[in-house]
Amino acid sequence: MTGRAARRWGWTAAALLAPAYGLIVALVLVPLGSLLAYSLTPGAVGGPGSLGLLFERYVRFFQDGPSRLVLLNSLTIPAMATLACLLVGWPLAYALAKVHRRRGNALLVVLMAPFFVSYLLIIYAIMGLLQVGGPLQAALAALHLVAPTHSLLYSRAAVTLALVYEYLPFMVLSLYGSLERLEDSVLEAGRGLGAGPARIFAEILWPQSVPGVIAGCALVFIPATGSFVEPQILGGTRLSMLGQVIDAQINQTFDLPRAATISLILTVAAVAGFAVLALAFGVSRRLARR
Amino acid sequence: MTMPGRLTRWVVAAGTALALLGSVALAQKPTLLIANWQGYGSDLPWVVQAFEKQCGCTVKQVDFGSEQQLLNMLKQGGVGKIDAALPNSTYIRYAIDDGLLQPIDVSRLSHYGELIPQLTRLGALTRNGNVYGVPWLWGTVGIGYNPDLVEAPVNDYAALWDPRYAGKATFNDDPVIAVMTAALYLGEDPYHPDLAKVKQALLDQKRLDVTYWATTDDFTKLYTSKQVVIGNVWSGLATQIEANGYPIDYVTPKDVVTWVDNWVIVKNAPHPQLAYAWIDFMISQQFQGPYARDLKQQPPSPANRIVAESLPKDQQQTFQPSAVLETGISQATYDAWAQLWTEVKTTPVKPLP
Repeated sequence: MTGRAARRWGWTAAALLAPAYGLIVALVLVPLGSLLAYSLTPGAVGGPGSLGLLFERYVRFFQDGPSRLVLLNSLTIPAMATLACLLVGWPLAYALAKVHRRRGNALLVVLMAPFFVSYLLIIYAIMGLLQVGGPLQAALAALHLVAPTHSLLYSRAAVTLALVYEYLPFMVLSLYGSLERLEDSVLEAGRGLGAGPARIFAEILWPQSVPGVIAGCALVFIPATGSFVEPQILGGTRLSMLGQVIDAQINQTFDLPRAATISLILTVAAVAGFAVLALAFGVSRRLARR
Repeated sequence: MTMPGRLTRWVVAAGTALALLGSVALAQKPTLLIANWQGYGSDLPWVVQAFEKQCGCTVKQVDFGSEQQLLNMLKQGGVGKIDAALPNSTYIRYAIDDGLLQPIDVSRLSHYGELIPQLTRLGALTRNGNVYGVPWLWGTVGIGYNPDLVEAPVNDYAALWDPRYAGKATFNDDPVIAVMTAALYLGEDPYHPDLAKVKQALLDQKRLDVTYWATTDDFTKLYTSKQVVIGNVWSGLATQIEANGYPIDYVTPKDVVTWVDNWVIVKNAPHPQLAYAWIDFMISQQFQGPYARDLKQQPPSPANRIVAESLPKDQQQTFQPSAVLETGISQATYDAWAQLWTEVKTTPVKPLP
């Protein structure tokens, strides 16, 4: 390419990319910036006991024990849900990509079914399943695993279950993408060289699927941290997540600066939590390759 | 409910409001614009039709989903466009503070004399001798319990703290109701309680709850599936549950949390005479009678004395002068209570066995 053509190419590329960059600025940077600005507005923060700090709302949030605990819930519950999605989703994706290959597409459509159902409906369905006399609760009671009057609702497990159900397709689809690309000849070569199933999994399948695992974690973990309907309906008074606190700040307390503060804390925490997950799986891949 | 829909609903409501405000200017018949809760009697088709026939006008409604939204709607362009609105006795004070309302000449309301005097005398409805609000419907937040499953007598709010109902109780998710109920339980002044004590009491109460309830649907599900046997509940909701054939006893303690919804005329209303006609219709027997008897609409108690006295015995409630109204709370107090309630909700507690 001559210098002139390259320059023209550069301008064309810039012109073509401008709308995309514009969107990122308008829809990501500006809202995040205004959240930050909102969270720093002086106002109700003052008054007795005010620390007089610019980041006062942030300091107060972390000084408050219950707030820290709710933040922890907002990370551990999505993390549990993500791991459960991975445990259930990996064999499923493998089956779709490598075992039932010919019917893979049809099965994928079946798997997508939860996408077409409103998440509120899913939550209420799970409520029906777990409440006293519901099918799952009744079955467990018949096996004497729980007391007949013991509701499985309003617990950490109920919220996690709802999140797993809602987000499982995201995990399976990203895993399917990376497993499907893996050539069968590689697996055959492994077998030919005497590797057992465990070794094939550990040295070929798992490392190959890690990009899909990480993408799946991003698609499951990050949105799950923002859940608030699930804990509101299924968590009862026993469990709160930050999404509920943000909702209460907007709808009951009308404290928008505090809502902005908590939203930003949640955003940063979600990205940090995802980074930890991604790093852990990335390391597992390196170890497998050694 | 404390749900995602609220914000969306607000956006939709705001959009509808703007669209309506635009269309009002073009309409030929005079159009009365009222700000209203959705699905709350005043927007029933038969009601709107009956009034439109009487006044020879068109009725348009804009919905709000919370009292705060109503205030925002009025502040952000509603004054001068909206004619009448429906704040409760807590929020009417803020609307008067902010100069959003105009005084009402009650001599222009032919049915005003039929209203329960204790209601029209409420301090929250007047300012400097001027009347700003006309009481419409009222209700209590007492205790609903299942008489088949609760044996001990239930007399006052202490029942909500009775360890016998551990794991079988529920509590309304509303900051003002929560703080006032706890204050009455503690024997504190419900308007100026010791907030530290209130918070501790609410945390103790939380140990008994299966979950908090926010919407009629929440409470109905919990109660009819027998997951809860006792909880504080709106009088109208208890009536509705009973009308649907589920056993429920409703008890109002001597000092009971009470609310009153009131019609107001917005400052600079374009059609004040229509607003007067609407309010007169709303408090008349013509509206209040059929509405109070239609239990499917989950009607609260009517403010019209003649209608109230004509209701079946089990549906009658007497407005008690000692009733603790959800009113007279300053904005700063509300903010402090709302913050306290968020803290209670997020603080983990150990459930009682």
